[in-house]
Amino acid sequence: MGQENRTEIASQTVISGEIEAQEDIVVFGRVEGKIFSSATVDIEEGGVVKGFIKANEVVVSGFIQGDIEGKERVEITEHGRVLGNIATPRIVLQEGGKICGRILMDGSPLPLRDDAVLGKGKGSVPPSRGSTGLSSGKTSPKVESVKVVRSSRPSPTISEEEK
Amino acid sequence: MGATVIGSNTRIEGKILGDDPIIVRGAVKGDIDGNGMVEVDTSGKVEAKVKAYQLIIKGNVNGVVTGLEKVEILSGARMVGDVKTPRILISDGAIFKGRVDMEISEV
Repeated sequence: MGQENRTEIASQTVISGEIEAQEDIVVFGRVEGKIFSSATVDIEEGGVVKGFIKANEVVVSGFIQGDIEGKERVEITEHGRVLGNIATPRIVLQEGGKICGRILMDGSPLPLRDDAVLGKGKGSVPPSRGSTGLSSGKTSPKVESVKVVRSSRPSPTISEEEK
Repeated sequence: MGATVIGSNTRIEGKILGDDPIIVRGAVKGDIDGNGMVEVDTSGKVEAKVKAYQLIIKGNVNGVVTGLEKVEILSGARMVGDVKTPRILISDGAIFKGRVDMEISEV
């Protein structure tokens, strides 16, 4: 702790709003909102981010609910959990790390940042939920596979609402 | 327990709350609600309502501040706004414009 040129959010601290930095950001605590950095954003074990992260490099050992844009690379370590979409040219997912969402590596911007697409996503969620209810009467494995789709979809919706 | 540090090249717009010590070297606009120590370092710029157990100002603060135990406005600080606290220290070289409310009970 106490390095001169970086921002550190300690474990008992909650920040809600927008963080913009030209230096590294290390999150041990909780952030609800957006994080922008021209350097590295490091979500440590125990750290929680609900919102959007855009940085040169993003390293996730904690939990992120929302989309991630890594200009250079994104790394999910063995304890990392991501509930949202990831757009980056280089990605590392260590064994044990979990992602629930889409990964875009073709340089296209995150579609879910686009409000039009977001709106569509929102609209398409309730019908799929309805169909889940119908299909739940069938075999249980099928319901589980639907659950995965479900949890990957609402993430942008939730982060939208919490702004 | 670590401290929360807002680096000198960081801007936060919103609310910061927590039990950790908070050191501000960058810019914060909004609300700081700390149960521990809050320090605004020389490079820090705070435009916010600040509440802390102990508030130490060495940088720039614009807003209403409350120090539950004490407020220190040190040399080089520039404080504009009202201060509410039972104990206050204003050092030589500090700039302070605003009111002080120390809750003196009338006898």
